[in-house]
Amino acid sequence: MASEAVIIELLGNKGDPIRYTIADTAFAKGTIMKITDPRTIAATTAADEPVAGILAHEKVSGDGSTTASVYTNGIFDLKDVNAGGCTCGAMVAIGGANLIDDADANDLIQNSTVGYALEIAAGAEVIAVRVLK
Amino acid sequence: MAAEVAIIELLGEPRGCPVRYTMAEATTVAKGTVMQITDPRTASAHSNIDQPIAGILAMEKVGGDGSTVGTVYTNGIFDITAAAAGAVAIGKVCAASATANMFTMSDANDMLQNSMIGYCMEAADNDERVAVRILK
Repeated sequence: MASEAVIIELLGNKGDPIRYTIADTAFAKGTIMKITDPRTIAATTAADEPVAGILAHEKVSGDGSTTASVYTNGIFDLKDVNAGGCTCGAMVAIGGANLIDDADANDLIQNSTVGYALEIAAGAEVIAVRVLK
Repeated sequence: MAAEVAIIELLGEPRGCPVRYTMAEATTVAKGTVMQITDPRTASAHSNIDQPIAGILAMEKVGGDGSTVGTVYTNGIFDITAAAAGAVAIGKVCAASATANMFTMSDANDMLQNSMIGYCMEAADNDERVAVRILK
């Protein structure tokens, strides 16, 4: 994978991590994770997926662990999708694997929002995003 | 009442980020009740769709106990029951239903009127009890 999120600040109780079940495969720290049933996370791959948060630590394939935590409260460097561009202060949603894009109303209902942009983003730019899930 | 919410995890600091509201002194409300906001800064039990949701009542309120305040949890993971026609897909936002303490699928209006409860961490069939992430 590429374009993983980078921590700028962890807010709340050190990022308010939430534990989920996860497949015993490899995931990079900083991956934007989606929710699957039941209370399980997997890497985001496309727009319109329900977002859980930012993977707090690397998950090594075959290490025997089936749980992992995601940060749900903080400020993170995230990369804008190529075709996108984000407005400063506006909500951003998942736009692809570890990528963000401007949110629309549907993203709010389907929980695809990641947070709101703290900077203007041109296409493919990395910007600070306030994440609160 | 029935189908009160059960705590799975309280998040944030202090735990569950409790918020204090005025409550009717004479009314009994069970711990774990989904609470709606009424004017001014008052919480009462949720009873229908489209009500603005305050959070989950943190302790039992006994009718006639002299107290006029109650606290609601606003940050955590809770077991909540889907309404009879309240199925919600995994990860999607759920909102107040027409049945007390139960949720249903959210629509755009729920977002504007603050009737959303949280998002489902499991797929919810009708009448199923699932983990819901609440952050109000």
